[in-house]
Amino acid sequence: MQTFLQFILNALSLGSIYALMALGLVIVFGILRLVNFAYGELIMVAGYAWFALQGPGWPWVLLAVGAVIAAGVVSVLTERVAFRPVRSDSLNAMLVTSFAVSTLLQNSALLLVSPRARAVEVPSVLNNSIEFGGLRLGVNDLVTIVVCGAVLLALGALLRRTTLGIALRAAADDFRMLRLLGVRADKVIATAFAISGVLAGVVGVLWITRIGAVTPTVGAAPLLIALIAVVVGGMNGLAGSIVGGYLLGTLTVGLQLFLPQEVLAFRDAFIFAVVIIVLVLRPQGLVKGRYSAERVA
Amino acid sequence: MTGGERRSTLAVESVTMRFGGLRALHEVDLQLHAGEILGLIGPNGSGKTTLVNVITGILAPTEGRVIVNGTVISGRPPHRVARAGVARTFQSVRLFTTLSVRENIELAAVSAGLGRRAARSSADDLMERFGIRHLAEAASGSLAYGQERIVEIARALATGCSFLLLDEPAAGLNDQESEALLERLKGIPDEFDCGMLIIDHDMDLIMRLCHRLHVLNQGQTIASGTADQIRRNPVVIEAYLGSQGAAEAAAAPTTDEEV
Repeated sequence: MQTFLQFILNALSLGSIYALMALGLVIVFGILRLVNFAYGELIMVAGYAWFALQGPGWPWVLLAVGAVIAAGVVSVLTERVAFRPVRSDSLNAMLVTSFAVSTLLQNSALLLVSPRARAVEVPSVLNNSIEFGGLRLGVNDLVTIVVCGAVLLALGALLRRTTLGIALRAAADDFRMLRLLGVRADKVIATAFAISGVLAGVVGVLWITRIGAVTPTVGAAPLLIALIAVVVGGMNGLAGSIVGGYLLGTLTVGLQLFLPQEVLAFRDAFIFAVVIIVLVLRPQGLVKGRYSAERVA
Repeated sequence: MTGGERRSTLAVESVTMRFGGLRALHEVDLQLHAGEILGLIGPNGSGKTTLVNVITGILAPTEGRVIVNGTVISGRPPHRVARAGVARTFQSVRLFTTLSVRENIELAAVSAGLGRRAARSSADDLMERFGIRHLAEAASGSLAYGQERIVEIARALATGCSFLLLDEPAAGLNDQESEALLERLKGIPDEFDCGMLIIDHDMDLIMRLCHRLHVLNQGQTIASGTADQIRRNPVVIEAYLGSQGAAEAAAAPTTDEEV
C-alpha cells in the first residue's frame, strides 16, 4: 500500500512535468504544424538564467520567475527573428530553422558559459521530505505537482476565458478563417510562442532543480520526452499531450519501481517498447484531436 | 456601422486573375453599395468564388484592383481586408468547431476591435436577432447544417462589416430552410447598413432576393442588371443552357447546374 502511494505520488510529479513539456511543444504545433526542435533550448535558457541570477542571494522565487521570463522572452525572440521570416515558405524550411535555432542557442551557451555543467543552487527546502502517515513525501515532488497543477489550471482559464485564448483555440482550428475575421496572424503566433516559452521556463526550473546542474545540452532529454508524450497522446489537441505526459511519467516511475534490479538499466528500452505498441495500435495517438490537418503560412 | 451621408461602396476594377495558363477572371468590373443585395451568378467554374477570394484578400489579383470607399484593398493580407469592412462566409461552412457558438461570434466582434464586454453583448444581440440564442453554449461542431449556416452569417456580421459576401448560403438546405433563410437575408442590408453579395445556384432565391444581378461566364462579365433584365437576356440563357436550349427556356429559365 505504502509503495503504491509512493508510486502514485512520484508518477504524478514526473507526469505533470512531462505534461507541461508536451503542452509547450504542442501549443505551437497546433497552430503552425511546426515541431519546434529549439524547444529544449528554452528549458536550457531557463536553467542558465537561474544560474546567472543565483549569485546575490535573492529569494529563490525571484530566481524562478526570472528564469521563466527569460525562457518566454527568448521564445518570442526566436519567433520574431527566425521563424517569422520563413513562415510563408515550406514547413521543411521552418523545421530546418528550428534545428538551426536549437544549435545556435546550444553553441551560445557553450561559448558564453562553458561546455561543462554548472551547478545551480537548489533551495534546500526542496530536498527535504515530509513524513506523513508513514509516507515520505518529497517536498520537491509536492512543489512540482502543485506548480504544474496551477499552471495547467491557469492555462485552461486563459484558453477558455480570455479573448486571446479563444483566438488561440480558433487558430489551432482554422487559422486562415481567423485571419479573415481580421485577426493578425503575427499576434496570435507570437502569443503561442510566449506561452510555449513560459511553459518551457516552468519545466526548466523544475527540471534543473531536480538534477542540480545545467549544461548546454540539458534540453535534449526534455525535448525527446515531450515529443514522445505528444506523439503517444495525440498531436492534435492539448488534451492528448497532457494524457501522454502523465502516461509517460507513470510508466517511467512504474518501471523504475517494479523492474528487477538486473534489467533496470534497460528501463528506457521498456518505455520505448510500450510507446511502439501504442503507436502500432493507435497511430493517431491515444486522444483523437480536433485540429485540422491544414497548415497555415 | 457608420452612418455617414456618403454611401459606402466596394468597387472591383478590371480585375484579372490568372493561375499559370488558366485565366479565371478577365477584366471584371463590379460595384456593390451599402444597402443593396447583389447576386453573383454564373455556371460552375465561371469564376464566382475566385472573385470573392480576390475581394477578401485570399488571392491577390494578377491585374486590376479592389477598392473600398476610396482605399485600395487588393494585395493586402486578409486580416486587413477584413478590417476594411469586408466579411464573408464559405461554400462549405467554416466555423471554429472546437469553439462554442457564442465564442465564434464573440471572437469576430473582438477582432473588429470591440472590448470583451461589448463583444459579448454584440454576440448576444446577434444571436437574439438570428434566433440562435438557445445555441449559445453549444459546440459549433455539433450543429445541424442549417444552423451552422446561420451562425456563420452571424459571425461575419459580428465583424461590423460594411460588405458581406455570402458564398452559396442556401447550398445543402431544404426548401423550408431556404425560405427561412431568404426571409432572414432580405432584412440584413438595412438592419446592418451593409452591402451584400450573394453567390447561389438557387435561381428562385437569387431572383427574389437580389436587387441587381451580375453574371459571369468563363471569368468574364456577360451581363449585369435587374432580375427581369437578366432573366430575359439571351446571352445569359445561352451560357446556362447552351444554344439549343436557349429558345425554349427563354420564358422561365430554371437551372440545375450545381454538382
